[in-house]
Amino acid sequence: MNPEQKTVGTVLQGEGVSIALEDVTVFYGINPAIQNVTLDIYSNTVTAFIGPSGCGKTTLLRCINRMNDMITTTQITGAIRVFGEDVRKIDPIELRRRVGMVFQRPNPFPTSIYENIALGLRVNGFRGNISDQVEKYLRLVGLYDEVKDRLKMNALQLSGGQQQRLCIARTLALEPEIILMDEPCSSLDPISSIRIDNLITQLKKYFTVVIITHNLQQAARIADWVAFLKVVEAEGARFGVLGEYATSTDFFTKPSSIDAYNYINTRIG
Amino acid sequence: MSDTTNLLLSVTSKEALAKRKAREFREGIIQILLAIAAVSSVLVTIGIMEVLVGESWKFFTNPELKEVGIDNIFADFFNLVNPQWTVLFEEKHFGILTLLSSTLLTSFIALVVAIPIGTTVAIFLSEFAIPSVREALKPILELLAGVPSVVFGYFALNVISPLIRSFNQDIPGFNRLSAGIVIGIAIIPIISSIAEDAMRAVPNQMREGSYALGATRLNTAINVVLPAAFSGIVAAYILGVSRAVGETMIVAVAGGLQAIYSWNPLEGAATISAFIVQVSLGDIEFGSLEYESIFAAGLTLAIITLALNLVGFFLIKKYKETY
Repeated sequence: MNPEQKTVGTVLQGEGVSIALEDVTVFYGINPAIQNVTLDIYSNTVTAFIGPSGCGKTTLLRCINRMNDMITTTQITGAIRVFGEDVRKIDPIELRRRVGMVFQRPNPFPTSIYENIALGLRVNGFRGNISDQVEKYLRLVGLYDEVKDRLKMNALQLSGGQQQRLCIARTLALEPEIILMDEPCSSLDPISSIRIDNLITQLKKYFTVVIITHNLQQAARIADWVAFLKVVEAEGARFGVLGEYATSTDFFTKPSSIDAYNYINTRIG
Repeated sequence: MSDTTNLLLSVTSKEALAKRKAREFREGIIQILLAIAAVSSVLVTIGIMEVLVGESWKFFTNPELKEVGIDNIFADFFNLVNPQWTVLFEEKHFGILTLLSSTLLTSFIALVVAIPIGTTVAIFLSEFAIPSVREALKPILELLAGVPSVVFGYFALNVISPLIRSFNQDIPGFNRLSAGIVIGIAIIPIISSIAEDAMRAVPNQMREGSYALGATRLNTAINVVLPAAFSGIVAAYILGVSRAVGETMIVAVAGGLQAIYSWNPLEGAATISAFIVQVSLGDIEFGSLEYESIFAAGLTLAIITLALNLVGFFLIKKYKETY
């Protein structure tokens, strides 16, 4: 990591580092997924992870809130710190409340729209007025006016875009400090996708956002920082490494590596 | 060049036509065989219903009923206030509720035992057990399902019943509580195995959505997986009830054989199925009133099972989730 970039990031975005990855290597069984990633993600910024399939973007993202714990063969070395605390020392339940996640495919629970948000609040022992909180976050994602008369309706009957906004709302309602998004727009139509982009841009006032995307226009539009991961082959294994980490403007206008240049210009290098 | 010509010719040549005919003939035979296999199960069901309904009809219209002093058989059969089932006695009465009370009581006890245990086992296997534990436990549970029900019957009579009587020696050895508990044990594998399949069919991304909100495994199982798998779990319960209602050997061995109308689980009394066993083992005359009465009782049982399956069908349809 280049010290000037860090200064720029800090000056631009104020608060400092939300997530620090230090020499992170992940293995699934004996297969390396990603190796030696070191990067700092700054508070109140949108950071995009981009790169070809199989470069370990999702793996890296899921290490941050320990979703990889579910896969028993995962081995992680290196340090992952969220606000200076090692994630392995934080209770995963507590960690996931502070580091929310939105998935590639909308995955609302098979209950009512209201319950989808209320459930997360309840299991986390939310002390305020639940229905106010539900309304507040449905409004924030622009869903409230569309569903206010049918909050009791099963969430699975919503359209894909509405479901995804509901999933974002239920994540935001817990008021996490960081939101991880794994290709949140990949299964959505362009209009729904733009709405979510606009939402993300508003969100960075309150949250730190890390987003995986295959859509370079989306990355250029919403991201402040871009982490480009590339696939390397060594000793018969294929795994991802960090290729480049720069501000979005720098990355898209003057990429410093040939891999990044080829990727941006969709050339097969 | 010559290959192509041959190929083109071969489609219409005599040889090719004959080949096609033979193939179509073979296909036709296979189709007919498959259709016979499919129709036969339907025919068997229709046949069973025909016998049940036909013999029951003979029972309800039997002129002998007048001779034994029953003027209105329907009033006697559906007597809910003071039902008596004294088919094998001199003075005959045919109040089905006598037997039905036992069937419903033992089934209810069975469900009280099996639903909590079966559901808990299913939740454990699907949501908590690591794969190796699951692989070890499932065959054991399935073994339980393979135990002959007569063995369960003697288990009820020789283990559970003495256990209950150790609290109070006045309780008879044949009682419906022990039979009901053991039916419950017998249907645990049905409930747990079907419910577990339903829960495992819930897509993982739904669980992940819940974990990502800081929910524990238990939160996730109860708030997300159970509602998502609801239709399958209901199907498991319905199949369990159907099995409990129709269960024969356990109640015949351990539940008592007297036809008494009572809702006290500590008393022994015959269920519908136990009565049918008792009568069919005895030396009653083919075509007699006693003989026909067991068909009327059997039809009642079949209608209950059918009704349960219909309820299950509509519940499943209503709650079917499309993930």
